[in-house]
Amino acid sequence: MLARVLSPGPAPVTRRVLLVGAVGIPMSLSVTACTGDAPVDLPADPDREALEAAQEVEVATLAALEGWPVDANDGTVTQAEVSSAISAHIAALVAALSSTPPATPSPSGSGSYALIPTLSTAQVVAMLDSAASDHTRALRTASPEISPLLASIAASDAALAAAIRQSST
Amino acid sequence: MSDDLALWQQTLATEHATIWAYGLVGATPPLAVPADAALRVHRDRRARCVDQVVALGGEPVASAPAYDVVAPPNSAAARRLAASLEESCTVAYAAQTGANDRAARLLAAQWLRESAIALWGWDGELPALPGLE
Repeated sequence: MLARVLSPGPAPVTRRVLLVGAVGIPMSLSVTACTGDAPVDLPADPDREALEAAQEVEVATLAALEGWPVDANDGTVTQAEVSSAISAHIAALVAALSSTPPATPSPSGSGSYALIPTLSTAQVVAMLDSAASDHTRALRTASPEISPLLASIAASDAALAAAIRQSST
Repeated sequence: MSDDLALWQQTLATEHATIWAYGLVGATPPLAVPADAALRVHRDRRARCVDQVVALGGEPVASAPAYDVVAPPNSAAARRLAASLEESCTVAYAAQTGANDRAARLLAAQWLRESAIALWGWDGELPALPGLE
């Protein structure tokens, strides 16, 4: 009932629930780097879990961008430019997780990564805060069709950074 | 510009409902203090919305006398209600980031970030893409 009263209802985008409350819970993970297809067993590391969560957000965002309707470029940011920026952000997240570059890239260009928990919580938070700022800056020139998505990404990054910051204190 | 006016009116209507419902949250011990803090935030935003609607030549939408919200029976339910209020706000703010006016987009983005963080604070969960679903 509340939704009926309050919701204005913008453009639909796939919704996933990110369990931020799980950040900080030690557990063993088996993940696939977002640019690769080889599962990697990871030891428990809350920082990496947080980064993994951020990575998933970005991957979902990129997927959403693929189908985002954008008009022809009229001097504003285009879908391709935003996709490229977010792809670069994903690459940075993966690089931060990796101690070495992919040794044997697959024919598709993907590769497996040696994942070592070298990031501190502060580094993860700084990375997410920076990403949120970047996305917000992009709003200054983004076309209205892209703006909601960019703002939502910034909100995700900022909220995740806040969650990690709080869970580490 | 008329699209921007409609967006501001929609956000204003959401703020009216949110402010009304936060009163129910604040009436549930021990949430009076955080609910009051949230109320101040949303009252400020409501005032900003009214200013913008007027500046665009519109007549600000009025608050309804009451809203169809059940009073939470305990603090857990009150927190869930507060989270749902913030989530509704993220939907309105996300829509407003599509405004033609750049300043409106940036302000909406700021409010969206703040509301997403508030949502997480109340509920401990966060949509992957706040305001977009």
